[in-house]
Amino acid sequence: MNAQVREFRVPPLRDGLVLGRDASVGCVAIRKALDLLTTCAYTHIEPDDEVVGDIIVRESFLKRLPRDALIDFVLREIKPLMNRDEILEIELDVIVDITGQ
Amino acid sequence: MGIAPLSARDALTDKIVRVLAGQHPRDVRCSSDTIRVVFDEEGRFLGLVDVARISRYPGRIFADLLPRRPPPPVAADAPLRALAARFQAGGGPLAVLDEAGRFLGVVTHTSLLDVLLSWNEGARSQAERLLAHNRRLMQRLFSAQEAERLRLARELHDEMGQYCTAIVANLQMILNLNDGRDEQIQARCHTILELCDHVHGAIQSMLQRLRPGLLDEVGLCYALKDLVANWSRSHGEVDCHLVLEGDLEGLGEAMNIALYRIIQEALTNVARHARAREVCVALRQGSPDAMIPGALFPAQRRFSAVVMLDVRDDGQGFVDNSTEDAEKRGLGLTGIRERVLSLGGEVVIEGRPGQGVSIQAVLPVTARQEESGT
Repeated sequence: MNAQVREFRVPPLRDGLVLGRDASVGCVAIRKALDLLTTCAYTHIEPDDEVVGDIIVRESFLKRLPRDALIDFVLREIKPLMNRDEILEIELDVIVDITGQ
Repeated sequence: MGIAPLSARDALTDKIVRVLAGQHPRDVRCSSDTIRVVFDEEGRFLGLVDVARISRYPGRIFADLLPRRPPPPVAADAPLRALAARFQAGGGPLAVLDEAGRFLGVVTHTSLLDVLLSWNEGARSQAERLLAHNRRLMQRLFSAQEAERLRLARELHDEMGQYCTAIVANLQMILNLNDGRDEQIQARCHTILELCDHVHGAIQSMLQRLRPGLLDEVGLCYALKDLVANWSRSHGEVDCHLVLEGDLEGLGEAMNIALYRIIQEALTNVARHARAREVCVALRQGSPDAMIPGALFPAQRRFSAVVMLDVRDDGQGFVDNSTEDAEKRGLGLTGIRERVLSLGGEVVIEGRPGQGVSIQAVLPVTARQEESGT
């Protein structure tokens, strides 16, 4: 018998999820689940798109990346990789250059 | 027939079930055509979900089944005409809100059609009731008119007629007393006698128009023959033919008077307006299938027996081809139409320029009329 055992992460996602428009589970249900599993705040974004229905992203993340830039990135880079009925987890690394005066 | 009086409030469907946004469709038992009305935990209305969306996303809770861009709800007093237009444009069920913005119900395409159909049915029966009532009123009006004519005819006959007779008797006495001695008295008396004769003739003519005595005494057929004979004497330039077929006695007083008056009016029109050389009056009684030509008068075919009247002349017709105009000019066509309708009949009046006028009327012979003659 072979087994793979790994730690269940709580919450089960790090930065966010991208939900296809025909995903079997909707964003309200996902957010309810997250509310139960973590105290971390998540933001719900509804892009006007025929494939991507919803983006659920850690609220603090939007302090480092403008909302429109995130939507633009998801639609440009992630959308081509997904179907309408899928839910993808995203892990985002953002490097911010800060120049002080 | 319009749908103006009805509003969204009148077309609410009872096929709805209230669900919570967090509920799963599998936990709500209802028929497939039931609309799920979704509320949040605080009882606020969120939207509508139909079975098609549930089938498409079977794993979702109701909150995730709500359409992204739901059709805007409608006010309770929104006219059904507006809702029908939205359904025709392909819209789904519509939420109806009351004046305070609270959820009131749902209108579906089916519930809208149901209401419209039943309303049409109701409006039709109401129209039929009003029509029947109107016919009774017209019949009563014509009866009152005939009663008044009869009263006037009796007074004319009993009062004026008697006075005329008395005047003639007295004149005769004066003539006898004078015995030709005074020529002026003689001449004046003869003049007055001629005037009395003229007044007597006028009274007889008025009596005939007010109440055709023969109708009461010897029946419809003889009265019509007498009417046509008198009319022909007065209008020698027009050939008038009368055709009577079938059992025309015992049709009842109301029918007799109506037919007599219609023919009388039609002949008056011919004399005054038609410039005709020939007029034919045909009155027949029998089964509708045997007498009614073509597809005319379909409503009369349900009766076992009808009377069909056909009056046609070869005159100038209606100059502008319009019976409405003819009615406005006072040709008595409205009266003819009303008399026919009051007895449950139908009438077609046509008059093409240069092709004469035809009046075709069909009146049902009911069992009551045939049995009682009333």
